[in-house]
Amino acid sequence: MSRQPNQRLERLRAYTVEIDEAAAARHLAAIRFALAEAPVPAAASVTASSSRRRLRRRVAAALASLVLAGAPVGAAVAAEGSVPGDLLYPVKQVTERVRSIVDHDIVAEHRVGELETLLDRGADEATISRQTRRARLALADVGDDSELRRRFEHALGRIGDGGTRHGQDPATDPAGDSRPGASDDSEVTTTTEVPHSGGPDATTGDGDDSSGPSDTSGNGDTDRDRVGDGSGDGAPDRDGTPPDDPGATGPGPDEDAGGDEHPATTGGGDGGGEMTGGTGAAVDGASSPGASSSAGAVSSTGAVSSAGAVSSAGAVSSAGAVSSAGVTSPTDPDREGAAVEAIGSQSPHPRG
Amino acid sequence: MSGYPELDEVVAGVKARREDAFTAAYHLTASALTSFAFGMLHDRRAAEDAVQQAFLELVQAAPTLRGDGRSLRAWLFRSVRFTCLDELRRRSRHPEHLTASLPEPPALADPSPTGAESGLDPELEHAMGRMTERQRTLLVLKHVVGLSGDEIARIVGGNRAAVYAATARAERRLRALLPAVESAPDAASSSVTERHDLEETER
Repeated sequence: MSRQPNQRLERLRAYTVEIDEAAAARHLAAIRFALAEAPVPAAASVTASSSRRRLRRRVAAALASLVLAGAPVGAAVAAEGSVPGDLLYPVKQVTERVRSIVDHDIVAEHRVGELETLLDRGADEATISRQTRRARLALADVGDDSELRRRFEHALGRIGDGGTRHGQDPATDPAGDSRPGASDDSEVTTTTEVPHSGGPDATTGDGDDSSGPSDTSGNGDTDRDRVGDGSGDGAPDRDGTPPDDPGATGPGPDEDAGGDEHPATTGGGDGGGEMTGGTGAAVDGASSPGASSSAGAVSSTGAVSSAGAVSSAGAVSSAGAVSSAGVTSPTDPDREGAAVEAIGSQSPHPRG
Repeated sequence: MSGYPELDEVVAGVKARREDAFTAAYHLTASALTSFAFGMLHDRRAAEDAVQQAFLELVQAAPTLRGDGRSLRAWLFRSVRFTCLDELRRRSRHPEHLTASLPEPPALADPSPTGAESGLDPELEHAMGRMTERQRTLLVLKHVVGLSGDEIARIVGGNRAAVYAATARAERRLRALLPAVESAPDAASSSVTERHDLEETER
């Protein structure tokens, strides 16, 4: 029984055929004809050409993959030196976000580097101011004595030099009033107020926000813009927090501002301090008493700049400080007005 | 080394399109190829044409060939198979050529007097006509040409296990379709088995 199925399959052998002579001759003739038509490659050349072709294909594939893989890499590398406003800046932002996973300082480093680049290029104030704010924000997480901070302060110094700003302002500030004029850089409005601020301090007192400006105005509205911005950021906190300082400082009006910056302003504060550099110190000096805490940081510099200095540093931060301060505002009316203006003008920067 | 030492020797010549190599390769493979094509097409003339077609294609493809004699042989079988599939497809579009699926004796369907056809078993033809193309390919390659499972897998594609299983299924089905051999001593039991096989394969 098991045999049967196999027997049935064996019937398939009926299909076995042998090619007959006639058919073979016919086929071979056709093959010969086809061979004559086909190009006859020498065995050696066949292998050579095919291996050459293979090599060529491999080279092409390698080049293609290089181009494909290289384009994004090239863009990323090219974007490395870009600054806000450049075509490749968005690329830099993306790569930076990725790199920041492993290198936390990369963002701050970029921001400071961009600030330096912008300064080198002689960018306009608004741009510098915006970049300063960005850098200050980015520096919030960076250690106080880092190289980045030194570079940032240096850059700020350049701003000051160029724009007659911060650094100097503070010093000058004492003359604070005069400042205003000088301060044109920033917003006139502020400046204007400044004069009032003559009691810049006053400003501090009140006006936080506005006053900030006012103070600022004195010194530095300008500062504000630049330095201030940072502080501005910080300021808010400040306000909330260390009102006391302001109060205490009250007298050391602006300082508070400065003070504010330090304390409250996490990032900004520091920045403020730095920026102000002198200013901050001034603050301390002046305000130190009350503000102290915050001031502490600032203190370094000396009292000097106090007014002016403060103003600038404060200016920004001041905003925050101010709020609390409310008090100060000597020339309230004006101030406020000024403050408002200042705010109007400045606000954009800080937040923006 | 490949199981086809004579073919191994001519592979290099074939790649170089040397006539003597082609002639040798033809003599070494033509009969097996013709049997395969004949098993597929049930038409001797068409089978011979398929073989010729395979060699003409080989002339074109020779420089790109790789491997040994076994590879060359598999290449030729694949080529014949594709030609047969084309022919079967063409017949299905033009039913007048549907000789393979018709139960009549091939002598009527094919007037060519080549001889082998006249001896063809009508039952076998009928049974083969009811197999799928793939099943027919597997059965012919194994039982007519006598190829191993490995070689069959190389020709029809797929892995060896799948080819073995498919071949076994095809064999079962063919056994079920073919009436028991007259001389069988136990015809009754075989017909039972047959029915059982048929049911199984129809499933």
